[in-house]
Amino acid sequence: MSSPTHATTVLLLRFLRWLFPPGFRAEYGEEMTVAAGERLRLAGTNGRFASFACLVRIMSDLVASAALEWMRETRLFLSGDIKADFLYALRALQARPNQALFAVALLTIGITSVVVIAAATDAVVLRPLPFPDADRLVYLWENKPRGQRYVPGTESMYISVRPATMTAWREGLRSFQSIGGFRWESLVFGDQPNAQLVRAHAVSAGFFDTLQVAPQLGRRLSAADFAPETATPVVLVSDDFWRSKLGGDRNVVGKTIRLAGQQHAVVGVMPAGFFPNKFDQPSIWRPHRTSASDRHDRVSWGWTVIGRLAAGVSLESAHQELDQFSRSLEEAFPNDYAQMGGILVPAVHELIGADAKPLQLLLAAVALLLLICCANVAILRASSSLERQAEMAVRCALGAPRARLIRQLFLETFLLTALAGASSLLLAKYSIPQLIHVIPFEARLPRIEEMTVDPRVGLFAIAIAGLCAFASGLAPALRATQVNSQDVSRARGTSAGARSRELSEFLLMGEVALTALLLVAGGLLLQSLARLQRVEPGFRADRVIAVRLNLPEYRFGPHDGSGDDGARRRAYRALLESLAANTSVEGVALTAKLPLQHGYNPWSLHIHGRAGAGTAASSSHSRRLGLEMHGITAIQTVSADFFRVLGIPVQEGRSFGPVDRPGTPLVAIVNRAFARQHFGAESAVGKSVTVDLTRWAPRFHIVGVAGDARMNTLSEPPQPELFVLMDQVPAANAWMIARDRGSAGAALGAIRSAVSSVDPNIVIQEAGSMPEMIGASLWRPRFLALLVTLFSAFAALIAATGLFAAVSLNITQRLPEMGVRLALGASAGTLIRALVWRYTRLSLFGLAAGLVSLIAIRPLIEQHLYGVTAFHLPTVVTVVAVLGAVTLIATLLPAWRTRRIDPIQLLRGF
Amino acid sequence: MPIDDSDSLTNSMFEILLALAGEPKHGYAIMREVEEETEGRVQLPPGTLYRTIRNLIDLRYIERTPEGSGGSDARRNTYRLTPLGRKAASLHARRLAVLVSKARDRKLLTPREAL
Repeated sequence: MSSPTHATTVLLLRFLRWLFPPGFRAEYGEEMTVAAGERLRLAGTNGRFASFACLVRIMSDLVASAALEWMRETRLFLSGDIKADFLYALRALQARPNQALFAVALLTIGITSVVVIAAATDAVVLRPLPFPDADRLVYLWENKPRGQRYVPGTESMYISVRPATMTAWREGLRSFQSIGGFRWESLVFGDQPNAQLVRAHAVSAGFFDTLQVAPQLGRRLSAADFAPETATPVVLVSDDFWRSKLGGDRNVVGKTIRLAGQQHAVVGVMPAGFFPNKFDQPSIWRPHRTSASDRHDRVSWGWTVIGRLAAGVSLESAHQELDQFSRSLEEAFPNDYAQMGGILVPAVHELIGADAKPLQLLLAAVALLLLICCANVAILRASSSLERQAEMAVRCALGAPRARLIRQLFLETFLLTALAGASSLLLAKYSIPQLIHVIPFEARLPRIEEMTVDPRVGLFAIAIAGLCAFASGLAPALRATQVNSQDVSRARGTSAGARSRELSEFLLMGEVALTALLLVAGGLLLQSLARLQRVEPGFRADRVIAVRLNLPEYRFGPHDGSGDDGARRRAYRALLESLAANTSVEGVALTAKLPLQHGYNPWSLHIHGRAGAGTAASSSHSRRLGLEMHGITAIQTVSADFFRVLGIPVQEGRSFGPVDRPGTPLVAIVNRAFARQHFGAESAVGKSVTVDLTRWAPRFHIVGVAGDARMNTLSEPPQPELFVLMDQVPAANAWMIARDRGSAGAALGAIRSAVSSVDPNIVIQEAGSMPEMIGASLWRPRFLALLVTLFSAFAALIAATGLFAAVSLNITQRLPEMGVRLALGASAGTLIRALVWRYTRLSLFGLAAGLVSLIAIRPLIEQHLYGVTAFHLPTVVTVVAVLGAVTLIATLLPAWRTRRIDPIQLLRGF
Repeated sequence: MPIDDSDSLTNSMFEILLALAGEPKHGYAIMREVEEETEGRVQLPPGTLYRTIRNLIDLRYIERTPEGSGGSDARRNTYRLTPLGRKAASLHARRLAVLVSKARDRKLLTPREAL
């Protein structure tokens, strides 16, 4: 846990201490806070999630304990006249039904927002993964340099694992009870023309032993299933696949399905929700038939490896063993493991990781909103108790102990919050299923569908409602009951009145501060979204249709990436030719990766003719060539017309042309970022580079420099890219992009018919329009900005009602004084000006406090911003203007009433 | 105060008495010991812990050690078992032992658990 967050937590704990009765607080408060702080620090060593879960648990416990202590101390439930007080409280609320309803509505808004976001956090972050002892599961990645550690809260971006490494880890690491891995693949299910592509995991032995989840039907994979030569290959299917594709047949075990052109026996069905995943859900688990070559395969990256720590082994000690083990691997295979190590990422971080960040911001936002609601209810309570000063003074004079009066007033607030808590629970319970559907698919977080109001969330809601009762009821009750029994003689308690007014003005200031914070957060997110939308992507996507093609291995043979792939080359060429003649298409091209698709996959490169300033070669291949490495680049395989179709200008040199064929020297076009990074002021055209692709190291002759296009995300600046020709180095699978000439979507039909005429075995995996795909990439920031802005708008509205109530209260209370001033010749205008100035000043103080506290939430908000900092002046100025206007209106409206004051009438009653 | 014959020890009370059976400890140390000994199954968050400590002090089962024995940190107190508390804990343990032996006789425990 970072220190500013820790400081905030300690402050929070200190605040919670004040909920306890004074006796208990004096006796145990300090050490309780110290113990809580230490417990949190301990939880912090297990990462942010653990520490957050611990904080929630400690907070609920403190609130519940405080309530129990108060009950014990005041003997609340032992006292005989609690029933009378309860009825009296009900009657008091009934006497001001509008105020009561308004307070319940405010608290319901606040509590419901907190409960919904807490339920989402619970589902996404806090609930354990669906594996037994899930905290012992860790992902193992290869990593360079050796010895690094995963930092919780960061996105994990490491190198996938090679088969030989996985085998070595499985056999050599003692810290793990078992280790297994999987590799993503797409398999064709069924026969043409109804074949579909399904996502699958090829799993290694040990995969299911590591996760320890048994199938709901059938059996796990056995050792025999992994043997290279078994009669029928077997598969396990997902619950979803079983229900949607196999009709939920309970006798499915033993039956065969056709996958990748071959019969496979179904041996089991995994339970629903098995293996939650960040991006995609697998439908099939297929044993990866181990062969002798796997043991020596140190070039085929692509495995994801999961291990189960042996009982009692800590992450750090496993890490130390892994470092040691990697060192011995380097000694044995210096070419393949130079400086290579491994890195361990706890499964919960790997699967949820950075996805929890928007939730942290939303939690903070709803917590602020709830505080604003509580402050407002406290202002309402203060003003209502002011109207009842006389009653309090009389009861006090008749001998009622102050504790009794406090209890009476507190009970009223307690009833309000109980009502609000119950309605929030109901509202959350019935709205959550609807809410899940409202969230756009692209903005969804993993496991968000599991969000429900379960007993844990229910308990949390009750604790929050209890906290609200304390927060909004205690201070007004204490202030209002500081009556002086002499006040009764005048039946108008001025001393308590002034105190209540001070309290409400103090609360108001806090309310404005919190509102300012929320408004700034909302404004910043909107600003950042606008900037993202204005980013020049560097290509033209209008009217472009993108279709993802899959060329299955059983038809086109295995793809080894070495450029010697005749079947694929012929298919690509035939597709382009058949579409080039089509009149509904303006231009057509192929590319292995679409722009704005996540995932930058860099390779090391050598620049010919440059000596020195390089690092040692990274793989055995380039070591054999004796090449020094000069930097990194990503490689994109595209067809000749890629730049023309997407409107990316070739700024220097030439584009790909008919002279670039298989058999002629390999050519490449680089982007501006590449040219800048690797050649600076020099021209890149005419230079040669060799890229170390591990299996082979082709040499490319650079013929042109293209403009920068954002190939990864809108928010990241362009990285070095090397575009190579599909016809020279065919990719395994490709996206086909085409621009519609006239009617929208005509290109899609043309591509579909071209694909089925060229080879019906090619599967169309997905299709869509590029502008929509780009829009989808913005859904998360858009949704976050929308929610926070909505919360801040609510906050502003609530603050306005708070101001209105406080000004009205001030006027009601100072009527006699105002009467005197009017009688002495002051004009109504002077009184209004004085009132408005008083509250504007308060608002300004609040605003200033809010802006200063922006420093505290800065790290929380800035990780969601693009192109703006937390202290973005135009946003701050706008917030000041908006809040200023709100203050003026909310103050002027009630202040205007003073014009109608008749001093004569007032003084008569004084 | 005599030991109430009707068993009045709650689970958290018993856990705390057990944690203090060895040497005097401060609150956080009690919390950690209970958590570690039960492998995290029983957790005594601070509010519950100190309420229970207060109840145990009221029952005179535990007491604060004299001033200054809280180690380097003056902000916390150390607690120790009183003879009365020790008696109450062992009485409770005996009751539990009787219950366990009954459970064993009625084959409610696996042979390994019954050891």
